[in-house]
Amino acid sequence: MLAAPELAKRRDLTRACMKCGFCSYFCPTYQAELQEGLGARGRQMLVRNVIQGQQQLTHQLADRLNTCTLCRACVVNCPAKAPTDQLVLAARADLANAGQYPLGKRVVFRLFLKHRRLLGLGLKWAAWWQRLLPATAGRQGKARHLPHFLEGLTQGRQLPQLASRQLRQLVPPLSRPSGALARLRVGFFSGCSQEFLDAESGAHLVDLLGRQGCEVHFPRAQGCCGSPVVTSGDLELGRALADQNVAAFRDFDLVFSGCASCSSMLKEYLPCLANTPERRQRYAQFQAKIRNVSELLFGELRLDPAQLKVKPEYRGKRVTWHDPCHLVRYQDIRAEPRRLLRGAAGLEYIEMPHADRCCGMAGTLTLYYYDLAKKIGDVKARAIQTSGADIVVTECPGCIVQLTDTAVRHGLDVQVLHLLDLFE
Amino acid sequence: MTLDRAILRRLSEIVGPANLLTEAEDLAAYAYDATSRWAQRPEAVVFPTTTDQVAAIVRLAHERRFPVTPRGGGTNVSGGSVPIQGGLVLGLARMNRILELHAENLVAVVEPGVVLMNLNLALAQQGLLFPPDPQSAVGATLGGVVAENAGGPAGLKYGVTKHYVLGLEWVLPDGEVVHLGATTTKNRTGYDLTQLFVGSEGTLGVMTKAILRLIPKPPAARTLAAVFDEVAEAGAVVSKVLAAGILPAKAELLDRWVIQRIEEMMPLGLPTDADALLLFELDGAPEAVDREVERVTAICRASGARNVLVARNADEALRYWTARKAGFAAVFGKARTTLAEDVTVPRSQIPNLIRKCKELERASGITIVIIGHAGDGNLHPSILTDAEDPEHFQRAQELMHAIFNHALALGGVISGEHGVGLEKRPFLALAVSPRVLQVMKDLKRLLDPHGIMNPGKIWE
Repeated sequence: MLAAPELAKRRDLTRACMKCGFCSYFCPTYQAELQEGLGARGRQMLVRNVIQGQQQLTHQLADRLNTCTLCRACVVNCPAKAPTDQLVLAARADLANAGQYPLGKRVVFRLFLKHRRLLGLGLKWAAWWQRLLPATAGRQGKARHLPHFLEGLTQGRQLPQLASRQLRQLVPPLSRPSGALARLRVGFFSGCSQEFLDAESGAHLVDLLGRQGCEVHFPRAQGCCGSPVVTSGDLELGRALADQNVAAFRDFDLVFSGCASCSSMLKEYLPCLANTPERRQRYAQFQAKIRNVSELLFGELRLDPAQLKVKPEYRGKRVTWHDPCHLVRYQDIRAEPRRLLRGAAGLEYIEMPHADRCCGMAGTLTLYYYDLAKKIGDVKARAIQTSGADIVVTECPGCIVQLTDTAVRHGLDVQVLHLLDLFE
Repeated sequence: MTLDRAILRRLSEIVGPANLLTEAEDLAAYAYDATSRWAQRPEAVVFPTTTDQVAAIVRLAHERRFPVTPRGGGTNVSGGSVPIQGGLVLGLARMNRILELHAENLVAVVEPGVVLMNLNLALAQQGLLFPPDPQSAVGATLGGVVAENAGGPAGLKYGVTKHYVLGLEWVLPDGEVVHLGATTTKNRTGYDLTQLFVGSEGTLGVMTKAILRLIPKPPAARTLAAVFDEVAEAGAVVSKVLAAGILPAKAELLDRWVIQRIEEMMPLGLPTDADALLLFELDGAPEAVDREVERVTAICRASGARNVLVARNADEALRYWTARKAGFAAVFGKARTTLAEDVTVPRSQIPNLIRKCKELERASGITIVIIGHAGDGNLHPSILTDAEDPEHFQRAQELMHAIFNHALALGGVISGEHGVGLEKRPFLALAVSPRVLQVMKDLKRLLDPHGIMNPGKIWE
């Protein structure tokens, strides 16, 4: 009896890969280590071995699969479109079931992600203590690092600054549009990042959409989107979070998020988590409501980029765009943000080389494999430097954390911002 | 177990622990290449980063008599980089520097781990090109390109890898480093050992540097696709184009089955009711290319093409070549096992080979797909089968055998560009005389008396 039920269900998906190895060129972890087992084809073959009963669910296997950034570059560039990402996710679920689920992750996820109030309180407490840490000098206004004698604890990493006032204190359950009539009634899915880390960015987003004629609802019953949980293989907790979010937004036809990772996860409850006919139906309905900010702005709101005013401090700056994996390959959004940046008066847009390559954040990967994340980040640092931009813009708070860390490590004179924080 | 603890310790001393892999999960990822049915795990993988390290590793293998299988990107399609007798995989991916680039001499010096695509990206910045273009350019490394003497569509006009290797830094199977050839285009200095090692499939030593001949990148290139109702007819057109004094950069053939599968995978608007599509790329000076496009179009029309589609811009051209690249994925995705053959015949015999394949297909009821380099007679008939169905697989192998015999009878060869490796071992004796085979084996024994370099390849 195979101890990998999730993989066993996906046996057919392993047939697409014909082992050509073209993916290695696009796989950020292969490129970082130049090692087959840390590339997409290697992972495909390891998974195949598990299904064929030739590979146990060892912690060495977990390392090979957990280092996948799930960036999907292998999939989109694969001549046969072999779904390596789906196989890696399934393998992680089987690994987690078999006990390859780090205790720290499990405790944090099950305690804090399931109980959002606890997470809020915990982070508030942490934010108070964090103010005692030195702020990182230079243009990264929102990063902190440990004092030098303690930096070993975080391997010298730049820590995102926690919000002292969280989003629930800044944004009411209902924000009416600033104009006369509401053009659109939308639910706001904040995500953990805009709720607890950069709450000001979240509040600004609500305000901006209000000025575009949106009646924005911010339901308090929402929780974590589930991305860190699902990508860690905890499907059970993932389903609990999914069900909670589906219920929280039951009354809305449109739900948007300013986080690329959240919106892509919300759109993928169906393929990743639906295990009953009932869930399949509910998740399919939910998926159809989800919009990324760009989709909402250019789709439902038919925004003319010239309408948005660049904040005075950013006028005349050179900006470049970093495509979050969860936007460009999970939601196929590539043109819209660039339209916004090119169309806005007062910005000079420069495309960086390979803007759609993964930055190396990859959810919890950076926590467990920081060296690897840094190597992937180094490639991005060179691309940013080549562009000569003053500001790197993206739409994923995860990317922002990694890009900020990368910029500081390389001493780059750039600022890292969320797309909509550029605008008034 | 041929790698004992002392050997592993020594390997670790040579390359450092970070460049030595011994965990089962890592070894499993070096058991295969891009063929569908060969697999064997090595006992360890090393990643040398200098020539001295390569030499020390090979010397150790020579002294302690363990198998060494060199490997770059593992994109080869012959079984060449599968460590079929276990032992050590010598991973060269981390020796990946372009060491020298001399635009004025049209020469580059590269390490074996440089990915072909990256070389050409770097060359393009200076208006240069290294023409051999295997479909695996994004994964193939120069070490493998040289060891397999790789070719591709550009073979028609530009030839294959052996035409572009001027010299080598080479580690002989006893661990000694030798330098062969020079940076000059012409070089007559005794036997041409450089050419002996090009295409030696890892059995005669390890490349640590290559001196490559480059060409100026042609300033213009245009693509056209001719649609035919009869695949063998399409196969005959290339000769007519050449007879008209035109040498296209590429001439590629896709048959009906492949066109339909590509359209299923990625709708590109290819005519799915056509029996064949012939893709041409013409390159050179812009005015000359424009004139040649017109003439090739006229020749195709006069030779029975139902329609000729000329790509209007680079994007459209890219669509056709993307389709061509997707061809093999389309083939492999539809069968449990694909016997992708590599027979090559003189250009004038292309229609005969195609007709024979179609005949065999009808008689056997087993699908034989034709996709390949019509320009140089390297056709890649691919047999769709299932290795887990012994009866079907047996018949498929018999078909393959029949195709080999037919290609040889037409004056062709059993492998145009993939190499013998493991795939074509049983057929080598069909293609060369016993005396020639003996000379090859004598050469091998002379250079590698203990048979440590990529054992089990080329002959059984």
